[in-house]
Amino acid sequence: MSHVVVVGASVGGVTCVQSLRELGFDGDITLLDAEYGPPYQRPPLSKEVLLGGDADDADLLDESALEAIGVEFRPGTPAIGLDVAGRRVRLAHGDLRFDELVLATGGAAAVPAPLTNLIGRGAHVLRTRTDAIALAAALGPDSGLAVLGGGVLGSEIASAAVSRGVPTTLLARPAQTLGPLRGALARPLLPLHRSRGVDVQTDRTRISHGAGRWRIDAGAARLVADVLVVAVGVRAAARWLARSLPVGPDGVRCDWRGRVAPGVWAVGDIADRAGSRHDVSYNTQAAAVVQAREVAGAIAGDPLRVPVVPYFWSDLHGVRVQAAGRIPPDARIEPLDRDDTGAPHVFAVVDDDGTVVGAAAWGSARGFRRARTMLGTALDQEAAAR
Amino acid sequence: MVEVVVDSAACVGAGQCALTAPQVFDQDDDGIVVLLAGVVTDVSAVRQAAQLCPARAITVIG
Ligand SMILES: Cc1cc2nc3c(=O)[nH]c(=O)nc-3n(C[C@H](O)[C@H](O)[C@H](O)COP(=O)(O)OP(=O)(O)OC[C@H]3O[C@@H](n4cnc5c(N)ncnc54)[C@H](O)[C@@H]3O)c2cc1C
Ligand code: SF4
Repeated sequence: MSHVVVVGASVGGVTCVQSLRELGFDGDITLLDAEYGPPYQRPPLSKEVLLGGDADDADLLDESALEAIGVEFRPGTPAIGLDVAGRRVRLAHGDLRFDELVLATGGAAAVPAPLTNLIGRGAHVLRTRTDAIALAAALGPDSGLAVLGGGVLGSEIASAAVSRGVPTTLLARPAQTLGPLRGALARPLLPLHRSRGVDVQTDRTRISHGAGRWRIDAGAARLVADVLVVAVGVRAAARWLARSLPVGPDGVRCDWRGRVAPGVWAVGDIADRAGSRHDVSYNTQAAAVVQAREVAGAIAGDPLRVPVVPYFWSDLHGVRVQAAGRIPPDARIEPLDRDDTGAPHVFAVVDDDGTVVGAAAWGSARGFRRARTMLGTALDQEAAAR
Repeated sequence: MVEVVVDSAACVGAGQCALTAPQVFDQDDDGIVVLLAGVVTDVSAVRQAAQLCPARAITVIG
């Protein structure tokens, strides 16, 4: 009987094993994770959980639900190596043989070398449930917070913190991007933060630590903070694969279906998938979910038949930011609608030959849906101006 | 026949469900999922919609 091993039990790995069963796969399935506890998803960690919500709300399912569908779940079991030709995953105590292997080990907080000593001194990162509980406990109205990194993660942390009354400084870049959004698409970001009381600094910063506090020199500004969070990016959790597979800084290289080698597949943040770099969902939960369904379909012999439009979302200060489709580097950005202050907040992304390939909106569900229906069509300038 | 439950608080308005199973899911003005039929017979489209929801807001029971 066929044995599928899935390494990594977050949203990619869990969606994959559930989809395998729903598609009728009846072989053995083993699901491993390095962490302990029930599988969980990450989006609530920087939203509801930081706002004081229950960390258990991030759980994807409990262990009995995996048992009920005949999945052997082994938490606290890191994979440490892989023998592709011999079809074996190496564990701390012995090997695990597989017929099909799905790599879903995702990513970890990236901390560039000059900053690693900050982490050693108690600076926070936010990737795991444990990280979120620790950060939520450290936030309070009497302790100032500094967030290094103004991207999606740093922005969501700053947003949650100010809404809890925490004095918050965001150390961002002058032309800060938000996930796939850059240029005109990201322009609403820093004004939004400032309008909600976040102190945004975009000058080069120097951070030092002493007497339990962080000192931050940002251009002419001299600041102190009690809590520092480093949110400067993610690196693929692929080190354990480096001797066996083609691994780059963005993960394991695979084809457009997620295939890495015969019998080996990759999904989610660890997958450096051909052709997906400009999808708005690149390295998001939305992509992990779709890729997991696609790979499960390939293994179970039941490929996905519906079209899936890449999707991105973030929640900042009660404003939902959404994007769909692709944003190629040389695309043109057309504003479709403006907010009350006259600033553009709904956009179409148009490629060389005038086709709408992407859509984005800040705080406008209606505008977003309208922009999304334009995907794949030629931009109608008159309709766009309306 | 299966039962479908949506968690509208978790829904992020991606609209993938309405694209995958338009007989069962629609979106309101805010983009939040609206269930058109709680008990459904076209099980495969609904299961696929549940699998593809990026917020994992859809549960299929049975
Ligand atoms: C705080 C936060 C908020 C986010 N918010 C959003 C959002 O709003 N929308 C969105 O679309 N995306 C969001 N993301 C991104 C999204 O969470 C990721 O894209 C998604 O989690 C990727 O899923 P994955 O299953 O590929 O990997 P991961 O979620 O990284 O899971 C990998 C799993 O593999 C395990 N693992 C790692 N190495 C090993 C090993 N050697 N052996 C065994 N197990 C191992 C880990 O313990 C982990 O459980 C957010 C991310 C964070 C951190
Ligand atoms: S696919 Fe999920 S997140 Fe998107 S509208 Fe439907 S229920 Fe909501």
